Amino acid sequence: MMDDLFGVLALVVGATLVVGVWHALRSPTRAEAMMAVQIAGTAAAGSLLLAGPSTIGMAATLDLVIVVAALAAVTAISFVAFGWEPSVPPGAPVREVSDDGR
Amino acid sequence: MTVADLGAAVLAAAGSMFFVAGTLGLVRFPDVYSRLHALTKADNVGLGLIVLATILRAQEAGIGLRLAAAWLLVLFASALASHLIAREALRRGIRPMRRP
Amino acid sequence: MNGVAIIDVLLAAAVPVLAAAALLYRDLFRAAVVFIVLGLTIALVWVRLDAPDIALAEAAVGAGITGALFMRALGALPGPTRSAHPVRSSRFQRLAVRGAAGVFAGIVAALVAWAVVTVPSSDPVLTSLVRDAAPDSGVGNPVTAVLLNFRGYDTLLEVGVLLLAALGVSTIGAHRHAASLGGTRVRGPVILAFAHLVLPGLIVLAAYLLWIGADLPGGAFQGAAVLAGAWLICAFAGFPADVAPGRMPAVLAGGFCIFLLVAAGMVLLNGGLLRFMPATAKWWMLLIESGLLVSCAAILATLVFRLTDDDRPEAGR
Repeated sequence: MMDDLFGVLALVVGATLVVGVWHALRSPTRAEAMMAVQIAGTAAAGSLLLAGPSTIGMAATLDLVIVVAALAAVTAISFVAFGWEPSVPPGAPVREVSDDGR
Repeated sequence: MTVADLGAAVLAAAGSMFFVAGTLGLVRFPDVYSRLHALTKADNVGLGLIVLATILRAQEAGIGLRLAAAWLLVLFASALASHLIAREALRRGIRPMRRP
Repeated sequence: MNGVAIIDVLLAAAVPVLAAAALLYRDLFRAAVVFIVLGLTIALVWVRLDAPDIALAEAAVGAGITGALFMRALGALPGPTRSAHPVRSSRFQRLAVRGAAGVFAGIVAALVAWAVVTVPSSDPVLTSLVRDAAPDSGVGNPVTAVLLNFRGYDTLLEVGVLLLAALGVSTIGAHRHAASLGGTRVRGPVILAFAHLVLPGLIVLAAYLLWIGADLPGGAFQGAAVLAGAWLICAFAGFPADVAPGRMPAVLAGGFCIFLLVAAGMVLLNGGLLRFMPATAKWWMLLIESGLLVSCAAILATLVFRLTDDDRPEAGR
């Protein structure tokens, strides 16, 4: 019965992942799209903690959560480092460009 | 169901609710800064509660320490990510909403 | 049915949706974001399939290193819109290409579906073979036993392929190993503090994954991905930690060379390439894995660092 509860809760957290990512990606600015990685990392860690121990055991779940946390950090940093539109396209005259380039 | 199981269930449910609250904030708040704020804080508290629930399930001190370390790592990473996003958004002229 | 299995419903629905979104998004940046989320979701799928080693590798490489690689590549694409540019060709040409691709994809999909439907639910022969031979392999984790002992030759060649990839990127990519990444967009006191706090733990985590890979889920490759991630954090933070350019080839190739030397050594000692004796197998495998840990981390980091030339200059910064 505990397994059932934790399964449902993992489903809930997974649903917040999907909804959050979808909403973050729908917005026109890249800043919000970058949040999607953060959402995914934290929610995936939460789902893992809820659904993992009954499937692969506590020790493996722990290691996996730490690895997910660490590498999600690396990904988020790289998205912020490289993912923005350039303020001015190199070599072009300055013009108004909306954040997603359209 | 033992006391530990009950506690774990309550904590896990509360943690999941915080995740839902964070996503709700993401959907409903008006600008990127308040969304980041809601998301980061709510998701991390939710994760912390789920971590506590997992500690109760495991009932071992060693596991508890490692879980706390994992949560701290997520905390630091989220703080860093939201800081970087917000700082760069400010630099690019996305202005925070000042009036409702 | 296990109570937790209810999350499989969400996973089964989410994976194809995410995959389709990754393909269909016009904005390549958002497509990359979706791909990373897909990687994390697939890691969850691996967990539900009771494959923690693969889940570790998927999370570390698919969600971590791949993200950095995609972003690096995206930053080098020309044009301000960075979306998929339409190809200049006639309408008929485009239709023909799409039709052919559709037919091919349909055939592949049909084959995959047939394979999934006809596979037995459990494979008694292979599993029992591995299980019977595992105690003699020197390690307790059957995945590590297969990777490094029973099928060590495959792993050796795979590492060779990785090395070739790194060499290829080094040749046609950036001229030098960028000591820092991302420029002022990420530099600052916060990321420096993060690096100070997290890097020692990450290095310990990498070594830990290597060590426990013998008996529990883990292994050299997962540790290497974590170590590469730590390396990337160093570069993003502007932390002055890098390998001298002259020594980099040695670091890159070292793991492969150690593997080769051990394989050759086994010819002399035990009469066959990569033939281990049960008593000493563990230590030889540990030696190989240690070399692989450092080398594969260097290879992954090189793929990110050397992929393109320096970051695009930011106006007014």
